[in-house]
Amino acid sequence: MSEEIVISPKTRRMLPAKSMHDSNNRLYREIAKRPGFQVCLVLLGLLIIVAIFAPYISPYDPEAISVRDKNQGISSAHLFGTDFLGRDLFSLTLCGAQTSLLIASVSVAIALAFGCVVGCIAGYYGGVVDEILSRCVDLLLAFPGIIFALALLAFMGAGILNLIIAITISQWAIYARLMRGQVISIKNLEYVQSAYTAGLPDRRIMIRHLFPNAIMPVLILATLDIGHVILSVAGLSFLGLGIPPGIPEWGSMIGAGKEFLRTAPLNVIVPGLAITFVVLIFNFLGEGLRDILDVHKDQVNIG
Amino acid sequence: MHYYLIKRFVFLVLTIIAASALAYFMLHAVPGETAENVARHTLVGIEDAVSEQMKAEISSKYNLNDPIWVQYTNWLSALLFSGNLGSSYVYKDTSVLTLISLALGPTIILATASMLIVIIVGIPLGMYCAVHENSTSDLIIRATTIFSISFPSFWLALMLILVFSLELDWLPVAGYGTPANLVLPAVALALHPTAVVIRIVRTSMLETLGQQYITFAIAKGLSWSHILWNHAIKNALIPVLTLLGVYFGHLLAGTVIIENIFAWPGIGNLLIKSVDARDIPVVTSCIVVIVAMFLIVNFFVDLSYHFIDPRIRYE
Repeated sequence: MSEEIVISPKTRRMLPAKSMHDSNNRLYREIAKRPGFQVCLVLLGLLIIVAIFAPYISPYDPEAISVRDKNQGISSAHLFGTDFLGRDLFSLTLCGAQTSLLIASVSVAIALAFGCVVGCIAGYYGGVVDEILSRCVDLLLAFPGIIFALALLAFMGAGILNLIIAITISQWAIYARLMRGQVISIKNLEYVQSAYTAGLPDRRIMIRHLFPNAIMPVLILATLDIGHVILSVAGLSFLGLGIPPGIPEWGSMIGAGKEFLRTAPLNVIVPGLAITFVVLIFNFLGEGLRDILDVHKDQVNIG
Repeated sequence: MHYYLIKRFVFLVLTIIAASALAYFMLHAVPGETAENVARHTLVGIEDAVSEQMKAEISSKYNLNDPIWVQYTNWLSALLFSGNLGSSYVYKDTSVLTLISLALGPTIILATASMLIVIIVGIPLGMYCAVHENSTSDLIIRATTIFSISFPSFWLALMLILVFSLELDWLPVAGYGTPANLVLPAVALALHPTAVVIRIVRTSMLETLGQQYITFAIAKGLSWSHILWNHAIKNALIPVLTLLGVYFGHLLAGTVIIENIFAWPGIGNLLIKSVDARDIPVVTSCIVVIVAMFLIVNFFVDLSYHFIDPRIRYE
């Protein structure tokens, strides 16, 4: 029964030029042109591996307190020195990567999913639905920066789950707004209209036609946002609102170490450099993606 | 124009009220806990046990047993009709309004100083980068900006303290009052928005310089500086203005951490201290004040478009 389909060169020319295969090829070509982007991808991969296996890679138990060895400088035994309780800063930093990346990626993923659904519904249906959803989004966006997450945490108390909830609730509105704009800009295009005329149910139009074509700028924003969220998580933990003591996290390491800034600045310098390094990778990746996919500059602004 | 103004103003007030409701409901959702807190700060010590009787007394004194929307309506009407924000739990019944008004000045000083740094450094550097596109200095400045947006501002603040206060002993570590105290917090706060402004000014300026009316001005023989300062800058700055409005909010949010580091007696510091003490009336009011400041600034930013670009009309 298996009959091979042979496409003659003539037929091939009549096929739509931008098939999936072609666009994948274009993506590879664009990435191949950008060595910086490739380096960032590799670094991200390494980072994820390190974060997952942090407890097994780290040379010391990050929780092992040894007051005799406190505030040591950089040495061959302790690559980044030790903190004010004698814990190995290198091990703490590795395990901190796990906490930061976990919180940032989980909360951005949930916020992204929720924001996209809300934005898609608001943009597609318009009218009263749009009005109500958009006002909710406006209301959330009236709280600048980390203020909303801070208020939620002030009420719920510190904790990884609470932090994820707080970040998610304060973050989804941005994606919803962008997704709504995207959907509105494409929903009157012919292919969507024909899908509608063909009698496809709304859900199917949204999932099959609107979603894939509207999602790109939102995904780029999310990539850029992971860096931003890592900074927010670190900031909240620095204030003692994010991660409870006992879990290695860069922000709270800086918060605890700042008392020893004069005598043992490594307590503060090391986790800060770790945050900067990770955020830098995500910022470069987001920027690179934006250039590669050629999304219009106005749609996604870094910040 | 007048109709638009009124509409925008009504919307502004409604948003502030809605935001205050959200903040209030978020923080007052557990009445029993609130009563316990008040008792800890007024009647007994922080660590002591609180009796049920004390809780009941406090609950009736502060009307904590009312449904939350009744409490909120009372709070809001007190705020709107007598400008009263209630009294703090921790500072022995000091009015919240007094605390806020004492803290507002320092925060405004800090935010304004940072905003000035953002504008004075960000806009000229962005223009410089656009005019010298792809030159070495452009590349260096752009590389610096992407590093700058990756630093946590609180870490930068600590590094600035380490270098300029502890090592070089040029500037005070923390405190409030003299101009020297203002330098480090303002710089730490301004770094991130400055980097973003440089990038946006550059992009926007490049786009403007590619427009036909600029080419025409060049063809007409106008001097380059005249074209830049009289023709290009106005159009290039419109997206920057929107961004400055948004970043004013980020500055306000950033002050929460930065004020904490530099012991700057502003709203952010008050907010964090009150969160630690679970002083809910103060927390709610601080959040409402921050949101209100953010929205009011953006209201004026929206209005100013018309003066920069008369083509923008309000319907």
